[in-house]
Amino acid sequence: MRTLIRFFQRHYLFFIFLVLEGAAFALLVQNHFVQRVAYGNFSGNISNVVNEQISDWNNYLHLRQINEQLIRENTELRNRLPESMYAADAEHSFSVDTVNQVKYQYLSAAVINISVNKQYNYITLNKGAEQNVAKNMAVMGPDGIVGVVVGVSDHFATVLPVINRHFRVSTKFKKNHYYGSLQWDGKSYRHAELNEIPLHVPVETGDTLVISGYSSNFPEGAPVGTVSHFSKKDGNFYDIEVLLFSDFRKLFHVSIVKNYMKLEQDELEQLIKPAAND
Amino acid sequence: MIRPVIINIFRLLLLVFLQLFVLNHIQFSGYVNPYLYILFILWLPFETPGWLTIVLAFALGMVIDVTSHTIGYHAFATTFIGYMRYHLLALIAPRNGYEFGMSPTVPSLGLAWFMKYISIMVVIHHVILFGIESFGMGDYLAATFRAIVSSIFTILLILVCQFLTLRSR
Repeated sequence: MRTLIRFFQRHYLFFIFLVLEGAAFALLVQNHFVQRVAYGNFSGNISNVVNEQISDWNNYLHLRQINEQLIRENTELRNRLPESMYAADAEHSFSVDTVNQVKYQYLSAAVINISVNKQYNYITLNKGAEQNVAKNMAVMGPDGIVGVVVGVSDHFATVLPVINRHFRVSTKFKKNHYYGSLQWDGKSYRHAELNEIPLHVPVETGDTLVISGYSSNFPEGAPVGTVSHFSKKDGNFYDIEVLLFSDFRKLFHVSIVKNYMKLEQDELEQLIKPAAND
Repeated sequence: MIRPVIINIFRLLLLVFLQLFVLNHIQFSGYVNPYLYILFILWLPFETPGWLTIVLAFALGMVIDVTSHTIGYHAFATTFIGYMRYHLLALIAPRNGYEFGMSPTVPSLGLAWFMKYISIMVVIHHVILFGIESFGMGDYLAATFRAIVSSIFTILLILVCQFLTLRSR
């Protein structure tokens, strides 16, 4: 017994180290798999208040850039007004939804914290449950898609952006509607990679990529990026590098997209799944 | 006795502030992310008990983790170098040991000793940190490159801090 106590006395430093390192490792493993969302809400309240101040200050310094983004977006929206369309027939006129119901609603939010140089980047927005933000809502920037809401507290929301290695979204070519899966390779915050495009699809640099209809969060046709480089991988698929439209270092204001029919769609699809397994 | 405590608390606040509000927002090409905050552990006085170093290192890592939404990453790396510092200091001690009143800085022990000390500590910390971050992703070459480039930047920043404090004295 005494030798045991002496052993602990001699190596107490090592045991303190083991206990604390073990605690850190437990937190690490746990959070690696649950994507740190629950914790984000807890720790958020401390740092978000400070981050909001910083982002206010930052916003002021970038007013010119923000104005330019807003003007560009306004012009884009004005172009979509019914008045600016040539009224040919009903088929070509622009409508939000086929049965005149609102399908998507946009809520503007400010970016109050963002990282771009990690492998698992996150964004924090200044809108939360009180503004009816919920999990899985899509987030769009002025130029293109940004990410998906993964955590919500009363006043804040955390977003899993395209530049996080957990992110996946179904993306298609605007010109011929071939679709693949877009994900981030963790290298440059400006580029992502598009997988699962078979070799017989004609690909050219500069091709525009948009969200395919198979995503239930993002509106179909939301801009993603352009093909900046492609090569033939061994196998039957292309290796396509995509230049993202969203520049995450110049992201100040975003829109959170609420899909009013997502719940209905998900419920319906849930019904198919058990049947498909039989 | 109370003076070093106050100096260290002040240093801790300054370094954490610098890390969170300046360095975490500086991004060169997505590769470089210096972690200067570990200078707090590096500059703890020699008289600091080993257990206190480890506990402080763990707490420092947790603070950085909680504020940058990376739970456990920094705590793991800082606890490791907190424990390692105790053994490293014994390993690279000058021939007649550390004298009372000495601190792990350039004016006390010279540039060569200081460089050896901070390089080993910074590189190990960064390798652990970037290693954890890319764990399971298979892109170890890129992670190694990120760790090396960031280590160089952290070491340069530590030297800048060292020479800034030299001039003020």
